[in-house]
Amino acid sequence: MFDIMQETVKSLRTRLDRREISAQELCAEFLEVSHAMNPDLKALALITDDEALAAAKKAQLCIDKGSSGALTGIPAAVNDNIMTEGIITACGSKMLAGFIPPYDAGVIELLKNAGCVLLGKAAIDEFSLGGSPRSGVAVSSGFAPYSLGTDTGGAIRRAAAFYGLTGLRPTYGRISRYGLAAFASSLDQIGPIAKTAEDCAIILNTISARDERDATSFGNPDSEDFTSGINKGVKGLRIAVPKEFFSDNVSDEVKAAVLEAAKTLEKQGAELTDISVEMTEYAAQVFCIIGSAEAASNLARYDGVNFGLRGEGAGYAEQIVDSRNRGFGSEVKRRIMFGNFVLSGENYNDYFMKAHVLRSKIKAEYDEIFKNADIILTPTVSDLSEKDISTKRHLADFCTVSASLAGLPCVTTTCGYRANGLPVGMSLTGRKCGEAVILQAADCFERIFSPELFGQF
Amino acid sequence: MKLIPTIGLEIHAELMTASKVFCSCSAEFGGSPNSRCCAGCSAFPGTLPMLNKKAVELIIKAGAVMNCEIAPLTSWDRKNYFYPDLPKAYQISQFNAPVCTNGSVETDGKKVRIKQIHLEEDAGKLIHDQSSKYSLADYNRGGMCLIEIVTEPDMHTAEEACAFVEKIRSMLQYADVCSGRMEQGALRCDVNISLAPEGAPLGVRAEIKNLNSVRSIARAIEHEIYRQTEAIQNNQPLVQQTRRFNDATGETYAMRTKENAHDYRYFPDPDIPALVLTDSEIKAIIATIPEMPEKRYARYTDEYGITAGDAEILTANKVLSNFFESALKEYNNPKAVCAFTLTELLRRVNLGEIELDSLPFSAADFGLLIKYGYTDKINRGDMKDVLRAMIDRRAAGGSISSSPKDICDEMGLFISEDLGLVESVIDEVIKNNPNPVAQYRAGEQKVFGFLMGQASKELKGKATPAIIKETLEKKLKV
Repeated sequence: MFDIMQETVKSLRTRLDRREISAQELCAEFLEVSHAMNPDLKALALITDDEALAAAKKAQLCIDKGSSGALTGIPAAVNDNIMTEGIITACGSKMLAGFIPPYDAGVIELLKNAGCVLLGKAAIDEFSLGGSPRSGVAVSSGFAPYSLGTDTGGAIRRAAAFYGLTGLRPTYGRISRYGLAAFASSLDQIGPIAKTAEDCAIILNTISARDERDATSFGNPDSEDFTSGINKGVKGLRIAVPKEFFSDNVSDEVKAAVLEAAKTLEKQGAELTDISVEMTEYAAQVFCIIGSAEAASNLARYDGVNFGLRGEGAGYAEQIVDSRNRGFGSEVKRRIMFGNFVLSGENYNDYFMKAHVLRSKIKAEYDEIFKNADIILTPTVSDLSEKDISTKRHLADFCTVSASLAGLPCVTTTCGYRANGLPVGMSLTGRKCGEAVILQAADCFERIFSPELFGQF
Repeated sequence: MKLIPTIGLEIHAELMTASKVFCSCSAEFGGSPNSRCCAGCSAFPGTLPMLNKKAVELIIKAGAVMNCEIAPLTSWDRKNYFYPDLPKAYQISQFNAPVCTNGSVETDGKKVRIKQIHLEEDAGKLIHDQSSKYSLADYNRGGMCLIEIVTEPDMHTAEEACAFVEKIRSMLQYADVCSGRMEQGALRCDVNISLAPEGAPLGVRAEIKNLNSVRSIARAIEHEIYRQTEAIQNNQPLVQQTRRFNDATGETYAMRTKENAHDYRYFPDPDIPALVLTDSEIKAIIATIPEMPEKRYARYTDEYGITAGDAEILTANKVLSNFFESALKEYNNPKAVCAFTLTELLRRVNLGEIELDSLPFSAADFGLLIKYGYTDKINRGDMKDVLRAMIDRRAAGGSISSSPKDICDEMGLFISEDLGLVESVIDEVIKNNPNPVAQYRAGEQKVFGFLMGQASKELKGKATPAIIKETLEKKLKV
């Protein structure tokens, strides 16, 4: 028998197709791990045994008929802000406690059609606003070989980096947002967290599709195969290394590991160039303003009238204040307050409008860089000390927000370890729709740095 | 000191689309509460707006007939405010780049400039039940396609404002953009009004919200002119206010002042990409606009020979004009149909017995009735009685036929052209009235009327007056 903790989507596919294990057995094994460890780790908000086993049984029929796809019979966890029909989707909020959506999100439909086995809902910070990396726990602890996360300012990438995994934020519009409870609509994207870049590419092949119910989605119009760069090396790829991401705002350990990884890629034939992304210093503030403004508006629907917790009060105004006061946690309230502040009549031009203009400049600067480069290489997490983070809170995610603001694809993979043993992630950002290229480079690095992931198959 | 009122209007018109503006729910009026809403227009988490292309077509038509510029690029904004009839807690509207700008509409020789027309979604409806401590929400109307027509402050009297609203209503009906049915809330109006001495800068403005009949627009403006005049003349300061009109008292009352005004925190809606329209797309849409009232007016006066005044009344309302034209298909005598329409039909409408939007008879039956009268099948004087019967019988319901043919049959109104009968009746009249006959034959012409009356009484509904007269004259000569 094999150790499911070590398995990738790719390796499980081979085992299922070779009948080394059935989809039901595989599902049962992952469920067992989940039940054993979830009380301590609380990685899943909900484990859906019955639905999972039923899906596994159906998947096995496909496998037996020889009509399995890349994800048929392979279990997964999805974030609890992604709607699942008939299954509680509470978005990590008291406000939506017990909410059972009457519909599946676009990605869930695609996964179900592909024969995927959904094991449960991954626990998230309230409406995914907190930005804690815990959505990586389910994969790193062996609850599932991959999960679908959501990335607004970098949640997928930070989660993957913290837990030594590979996480992909696709180009904005690749994945339907239909059925994703919105945090910041112009920034939200769903993406995979897995063990390898190859797995991410396999999953992206299944979940990127234009959805008539999301006007901002375009899917995969060229029917591109995102695994096309897998195992192809990096010869001739132009990798740009921007100095702003190796400043004092990043710990020395992280800098050293990422630069070492850059050298590894250079040895494999990539061309490295030092560049500067001048707008980087504004990105975190711009993200904070736009993200909070959109969140304030998106979360306004939770007023206790149609949804969730209904407070008490003499009139509508009192009732709504009580509903929201009791239904939302402090991080959400902070964002809503700040978002409404930057949108208010007297502050709009000074904050929101400026952020809007700066965002266009960030996009323009990235467009310019990608005329002469295929990939931008940066750290994923700045790894500042607790003290630094408390005083420079917005710097915590400064490495990831630029790609979000520019709508660009970005993959993170493990490139080293700190003295305390925790992994260090490096991010590879690509041009619009350049997923295949960044996955190619990440895959090349992984095969050198983590050969054990590519063991038998 | 003479005070001049200055009036600007914001007219909300519901578009005649089959589905709502950002989801596929039915946009039909009515329905049992909350039967016409889905996860989308109820703001379930994760649902997203998909723009209804038909709504874009209709607003372009509205803009074209009001001489607006149609923007090649338009975008949507969120207007954020909490209210229980607004499930998303924001209304999707257009703030920065509306579809139509810089138009104008002429009414009674006066030009009113249109600042802009934009597309937005309607809100639901709250039902306040006085007997309970709850309010009920009906979201059927939520997400319906609405356009807002914003004028410049170019009107100065209640009459001008009302004439403008009537004109807009007629234009929207003709362009197949809006039903114009104010009683169903398909057309609603906000009035901005201020008073100032002639030549002085504009005064402090009041906005009167949500007027849903032309009559209440007139009454609200009149009252507001009175209220603001009183205040100015008594040196009481006016404050910028949003007011409501009370139909029962005929007065306006304050709803909120500027200090309490909402800060709507408009910002571009990230869920809806900007819409780009090419010149040829816009032209293709404009080409589908149906015949407008000016063209019909010209046709009525030039081809049909209808007087200018009558043509104006007929074309002012598309429903009436359409009815007139349908009746012509049954009986192609425009002058006759016009005369009966403007007298008898409109009389019943004005008396409130029937409504133009839901007449109890078809245009074909109406045309047939006029045909009977004008081709001497029945006496013309009987036409209005038949019309009354057509209305009453339908109102009474049941299985009694309300067709003009059956009614005329039952009432014995059809003129039998039996000349033998006419002659024998007249012979009888002559025999029974020897003295008047002798007088007539002696040259006393005035007794003819008496004899004619006797014959007509006997022959009621059996012969036309022309035949009776002709036969009587013939017999008296002998």
